[in-house]
Amino acid sequence: MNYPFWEVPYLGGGMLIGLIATLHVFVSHFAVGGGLFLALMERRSYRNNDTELLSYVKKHTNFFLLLTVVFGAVSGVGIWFSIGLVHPEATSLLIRTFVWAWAIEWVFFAVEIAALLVYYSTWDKLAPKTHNLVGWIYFVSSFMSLIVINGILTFMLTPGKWLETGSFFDAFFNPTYLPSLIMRTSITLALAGVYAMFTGSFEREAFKVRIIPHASIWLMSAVPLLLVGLWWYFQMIPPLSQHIVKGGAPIVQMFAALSVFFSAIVFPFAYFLAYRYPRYFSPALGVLFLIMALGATAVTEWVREAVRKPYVIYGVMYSNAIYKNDLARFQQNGFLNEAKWTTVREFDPNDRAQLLAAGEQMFRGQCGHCHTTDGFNGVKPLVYGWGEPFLYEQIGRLNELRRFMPPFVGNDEERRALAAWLYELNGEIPPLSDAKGARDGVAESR
Amino acid sequence: MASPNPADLIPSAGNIPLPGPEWLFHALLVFTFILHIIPMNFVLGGGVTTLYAEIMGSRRNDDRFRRLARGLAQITPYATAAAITTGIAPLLFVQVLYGQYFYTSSVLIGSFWISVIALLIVGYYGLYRNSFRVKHGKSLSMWTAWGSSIIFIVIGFIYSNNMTLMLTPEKWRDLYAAGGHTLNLSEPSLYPRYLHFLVGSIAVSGALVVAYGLFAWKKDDGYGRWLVRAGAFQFIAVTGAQFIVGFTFLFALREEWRMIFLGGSVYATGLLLAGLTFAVVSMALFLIAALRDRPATPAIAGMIALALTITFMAMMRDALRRHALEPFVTSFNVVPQTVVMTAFFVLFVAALAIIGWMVAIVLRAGKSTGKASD
Repeated sequence: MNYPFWEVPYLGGGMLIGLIATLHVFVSHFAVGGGLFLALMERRSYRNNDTELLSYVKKHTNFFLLLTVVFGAVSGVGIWFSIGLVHPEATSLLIRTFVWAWAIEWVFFAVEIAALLVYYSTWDKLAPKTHNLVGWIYFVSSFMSLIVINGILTFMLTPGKWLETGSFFDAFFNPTYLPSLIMRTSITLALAGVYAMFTGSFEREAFKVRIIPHASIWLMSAVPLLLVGLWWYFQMIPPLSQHIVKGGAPIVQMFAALSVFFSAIVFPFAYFLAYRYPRYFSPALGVLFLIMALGATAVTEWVREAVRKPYVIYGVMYSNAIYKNDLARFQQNGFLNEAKWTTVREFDPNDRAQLLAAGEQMFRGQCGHCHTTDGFNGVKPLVYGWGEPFLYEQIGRLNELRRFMPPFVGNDEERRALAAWLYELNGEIPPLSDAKGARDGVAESR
Repeated sequence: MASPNPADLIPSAGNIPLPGPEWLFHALLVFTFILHIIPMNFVLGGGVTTLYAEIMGSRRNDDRFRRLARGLAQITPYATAAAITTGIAPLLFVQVLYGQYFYTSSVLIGSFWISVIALLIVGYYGLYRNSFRVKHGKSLSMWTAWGSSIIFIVIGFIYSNNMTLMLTPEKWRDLYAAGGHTLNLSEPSLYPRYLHFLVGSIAVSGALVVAYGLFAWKKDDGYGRWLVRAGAFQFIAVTGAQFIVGFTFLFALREEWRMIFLGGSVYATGLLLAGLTFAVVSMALFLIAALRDRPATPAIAGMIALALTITFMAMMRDALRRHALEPFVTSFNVVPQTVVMTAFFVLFVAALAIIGWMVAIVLRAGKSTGKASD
């Protein structure tokens, strides 16, 4: 516990990051693809002297600005805030390694924001060509910011040769860099289509039948690219991550299946509901597509995070912020002895109160990054019915029991402490076979 | 936490080398903070000034105040975008140099720190709401204007908490026991420090009103003159008050910190003197601008003097931080990433050129159409 531990009640820190990140991804990828959509549509409306299309593009810009500049930008800062709070150790490593990449991303981001604000506020004030050029500046800089952040995101799962060389370029252009870039690019195009279908659904019928099929083409054409990216990405991730997706962790397997399912099912939906029968494409359908797209984004991001277990930075740092290299030292000297932020350091294992206090500190330091007690991924239900000796046994074999969990780190007394604390979460419970006893148990717990 | 020495709580920074010279990160931290603090002042002080102008407008039934409120309501969303964008860079560089202090203090006030994000989204949308109302010829929503202003005032307070807490490891132990649901309220220098920022932002917004007046002058010289005067007097009066707040802050600092500005360090003392000098110079220049028929030259000179004051104040802030953390800092293992570092500077210059070009075409378009922005 090099850093103090930030407890997020019921949700857990990982889930908090996940929630913020999912919403951010859903908007920020639109901010990239939607930029291309705007620039292209504006150009087309000038070329064909299409005032109807131009007036739609203007309206779409207002929506685009309010969503991306405010929510998109601030939620991006939000990811940063949340990872700093939940994973200061890993964030520190990333910042030190990638500060110049982040600084470059910031430069593109600044151009992106400036261009969008100019674009939004100068319709009818700039010459059409100049205005369209600002739109292109926006799109190129937003795509560049994706190109940069993609290197940092993929590094966490596949640090590749960096592990030996420590070189920036090995870290950045890591094994999943390209497949992930293909995936993310296809998502930007798909979301550009989905959001355009949404704003298009409010249009008059005469224009709707033009814009909805066009928007649906953006979505449908992204699907094959996305599936190729997903497949390639899967080939490049570590064997254990593949194993987790293939069923090593059933929930991850299910979510991965859902990710592919959502991505694939959206194709026939888009074809029939939008491309073939655009006249009937109502705002409610527009919302339905947004929900499907958000669902796809959520499960995909969730799987991407889940397959990185038991690490937060693969092969370097476990999900609970413990450097792999420190394992032996902690094992020998004791985890709490080496920890900076603990209320208990040395304790008498024969004193139950001291043992439990130490156990709680062990939980904070080694389990709390992924588990809550009662809420999401809560340990209380997970260890329900486990006796103390059984807990002690399992704790010592965590990484065998569940390959995606980090090993327990600490000395024997600390292992006993954690087992005792986990046991006391549920206390003594009646045996399973005794139905009457079980009912009494429920009554007692009330 | 069982050991008594606060230094024992400071996390180790890990063994990942610093990818560039330490002085460069320091320079970037201070430079980008200056870029951030100016639009941040426009957001915070501009929101307060909007409210004040709207209230005065209806009290005195004076349309000039109402026009000012509407004008500011349209500027503040842009200022917010600028403040957020420029705020990312110092947040990055502070993590590079001071990660172990910054993350720790952030965690200790964790629930407040993360709430900044939600508050910012709500406050920012509030500014846009009023901006759209003005665009569509409606009156400002006072409820929204109050809401956004209060939100930004609260965000500033949370920031002041974190920035003071990261400097005082001896406070960490007790706050950790409270479990991330408390602020650094026991720090005596917190309140004057925060007030120093708040008052400063209202003063700087006076300068924004002057700049706005210079633009408005060309279309309506009566209104422009009124704006320049109102802004200049706001700046002068609030900066006058700032001298009191600033010295209160200085004397609220613990003695060993205060003394660096009072002769203990030639560098820090020089910064204080330079900052005070340029503050007085800017007040005088804004006074001249308020009294003159052609205020542009003294007003712009006053803004330059103000920018220098802000620069010296930002450097003082950095000097204080360095001094406070001096007993704890360890040296960095530096392995520069020369190629990426160079790429950053090249792209940074290119970005400035592109942004400059875009601003230029906007200004040129504004001139040629002659459309009033309100």
